[in-house]
Amino acid sequence: MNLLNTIIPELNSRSSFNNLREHLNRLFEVSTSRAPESFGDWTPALDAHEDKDKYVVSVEVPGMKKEDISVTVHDGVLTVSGERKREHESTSGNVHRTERLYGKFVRSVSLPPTAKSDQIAANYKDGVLKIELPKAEEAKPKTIEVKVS
Amino acid sequence: MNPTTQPSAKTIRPAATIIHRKDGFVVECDMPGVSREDVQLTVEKDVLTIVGRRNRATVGNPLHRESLGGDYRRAFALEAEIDMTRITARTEAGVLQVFLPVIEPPKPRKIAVG
Repeated sequence: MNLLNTIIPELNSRSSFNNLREHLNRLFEVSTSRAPESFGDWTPALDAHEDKDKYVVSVEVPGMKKEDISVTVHDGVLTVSGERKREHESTSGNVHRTERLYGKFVRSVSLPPTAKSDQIAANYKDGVLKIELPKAEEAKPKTIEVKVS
Repeated sequence: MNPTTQPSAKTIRPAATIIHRKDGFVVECDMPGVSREDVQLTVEKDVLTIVGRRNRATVGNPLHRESLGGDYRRAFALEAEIDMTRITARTEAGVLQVFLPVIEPPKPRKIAVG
């Protein structure tokens, strides 16, 4: 029985092979652009956005345990690090094929001076680590009421 | 046309691991940002399709973006030996785990000789 070929039909046809190549190219492009700041085994995707009263940094780290993730702030640099371990109960079988990445990762972000790192809050849900930093009062946009006479 | 019913411009092919166990196969897919209720599994004509919709309701101004946009989607052709009626799935920390049991062969029956 050739499950490997049947369960992954994409690998059988030539056109799909091109898709796979495109996929790999895309991955390569992304990973090189991120390479300078990472030195771990894998480089989880990091997003950042702001709204009027906070900065939010999100890191895609699926399949982790909370206690294997570390979040630190030092000299205005936010660092997220951790290790994804292969310890699923399902590893008690033969792994046919794996594309998922394991091991250590480190991502760092320079915080704007207006981010209040003493009030940092982190939350891990559905494999996404979300870090929120409130903005200092002076950084919040102010609304000035204009009187029309 | 209603924009909410349009499919996403692109879909992400989630990274998968396939594990062969004694009693079947386990497929694990990384789908960060997808909750249990946003996963859809369908089996049609011996093809298992996994779709994970992610909620990207990020408000505010994006400063930096590396995550790929769109929903997760991946299809696997199933062999006849898989018991489609007993497929189960669960999600944990953004990882979807699907168990594909193989059909148990009938056990040899001992017939007592009277």
